[in-house]
Amino acid sequence: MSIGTATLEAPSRNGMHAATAYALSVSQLVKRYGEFIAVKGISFAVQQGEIFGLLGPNGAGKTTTIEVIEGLREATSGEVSVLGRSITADPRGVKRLIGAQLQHSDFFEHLRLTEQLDYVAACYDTRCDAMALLREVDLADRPKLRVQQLSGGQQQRFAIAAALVNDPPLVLLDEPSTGLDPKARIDLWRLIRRLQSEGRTILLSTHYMEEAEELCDRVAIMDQGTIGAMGAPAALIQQLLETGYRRPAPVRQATLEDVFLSTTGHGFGEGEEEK
Amino acid sequence: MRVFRATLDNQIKSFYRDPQAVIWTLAMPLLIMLVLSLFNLHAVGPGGVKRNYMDLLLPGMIALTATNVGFNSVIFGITRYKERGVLRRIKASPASAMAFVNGIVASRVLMVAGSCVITWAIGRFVFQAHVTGSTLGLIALSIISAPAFIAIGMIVVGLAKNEDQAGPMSFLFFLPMLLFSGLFVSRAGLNGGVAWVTHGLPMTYLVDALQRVSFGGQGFSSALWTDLAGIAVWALIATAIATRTWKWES
Repeated sequence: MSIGTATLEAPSRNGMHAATAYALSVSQLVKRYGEFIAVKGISFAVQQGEIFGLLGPNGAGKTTTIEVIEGLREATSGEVSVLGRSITADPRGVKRLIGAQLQHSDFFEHLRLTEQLDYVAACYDTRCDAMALLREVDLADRPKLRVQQLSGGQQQRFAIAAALVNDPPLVLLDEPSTGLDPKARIDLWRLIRRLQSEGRTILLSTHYMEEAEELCDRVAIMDQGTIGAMGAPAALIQQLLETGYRRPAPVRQATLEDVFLSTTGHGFGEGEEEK
Repeated sequence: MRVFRATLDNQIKSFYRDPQAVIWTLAMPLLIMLVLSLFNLHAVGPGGVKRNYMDLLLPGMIALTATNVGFNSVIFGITRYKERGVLRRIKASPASAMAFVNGIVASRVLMVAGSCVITWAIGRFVFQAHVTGSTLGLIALSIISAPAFIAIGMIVVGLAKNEDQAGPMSFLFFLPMLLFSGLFVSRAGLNGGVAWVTHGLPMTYLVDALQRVSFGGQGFSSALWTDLAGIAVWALIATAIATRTWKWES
């Protein structure tokens, strides 16, 4: 069912006000693969310092949108700018402003964690304090390990460390919690909040609604390449309630996930072992 | 420049931190020498002089080592990076493809040099092969020829979407060189058409050049310059094609 009309907060076409107000603005973005249109003219803007969620099922166009912003795909049409800088006019300059945790990406097999971070930093033509980054993602006690020796949650946290080597104002997280157990997911949420507290803007794609509700200041709900609704989670929920909608089942005070966490998750962040 | 140095550094580390890969890279030429040393073989070298077969075989095995490291390790190593998304991360950064690829090429040239020195040392001291010409010249030739084989490998990397495709493609390029470049037997026995076609293979130029230098006395003859020119042409053509076929992702 429809839950209201999307409020498209697109910048003006000349992008002038986006230069100051928005960390990221996407305007009329279209991405076509032959006959298939993965993204159908979406527009949204992310304010500096906010966590903005792209929600939607698989195939909604979230990853394609993020990959265009990352510079991995070329837009068929439309405009993307980061801190007022156009990705079409200055793709390398935009990449320097972005830290990307990619879906479907791996690291060099035989390098240690610190060496991996040094290598990614070299790709940004800079140096990084690899140990400080590992401390930031709670992996400072294992700098000599290889990525394959980390657990799934640790690998995702390490991927975020790699996204921070260039100290980016905008961090893109593409389904970072997919495949993680509840405890690892909560560790990741804590890390994402910490990134926001450092003043970074975060664009997060997820298909977990509770994650979006927990983390995001605003969300855009995507389906089949379009944005169906956009706004703060609480406001969207209120909008839905105003239509007369009520959940069919009474809300439970706890879920099985809560049972799992209370049974296994005391002292979150402790006792996570590498493979 | 930083990406170039970092890529060179990480590839060298990756090479020596995987000792099994090093051993298997060197295994083929060494096993061939081991097996053939069990027979009392002789061969006729350039100028019709009867030589110990090992003397004739060693330049070919150095060529095989150079090709194996320069060609096959590029194909399988970089295709694996592509398939597993390692290259996506570099693509998402401001690093240029040229700086990354140059780092790969430089690392493979160093690996070729190191591997060829090992092959030469084992051939010389274990299998008693004699190099009457310049040993330094042999290694220098392997290094000079490496970019041509690396560039041909990069064409396969660009065309193959995954390691399953890279295997047969590599074989398609490698087998004719293995069979017809004079690695094990003289090319003198090949008939007209086959001889003409296979004369132009990059490994044929390298084997011929290595044999000329190994048997000595010919200095930088015009024949050697012709071999070097053949390798250079292969390097240029393959680089031009590889630049067009290069892809960061499967």
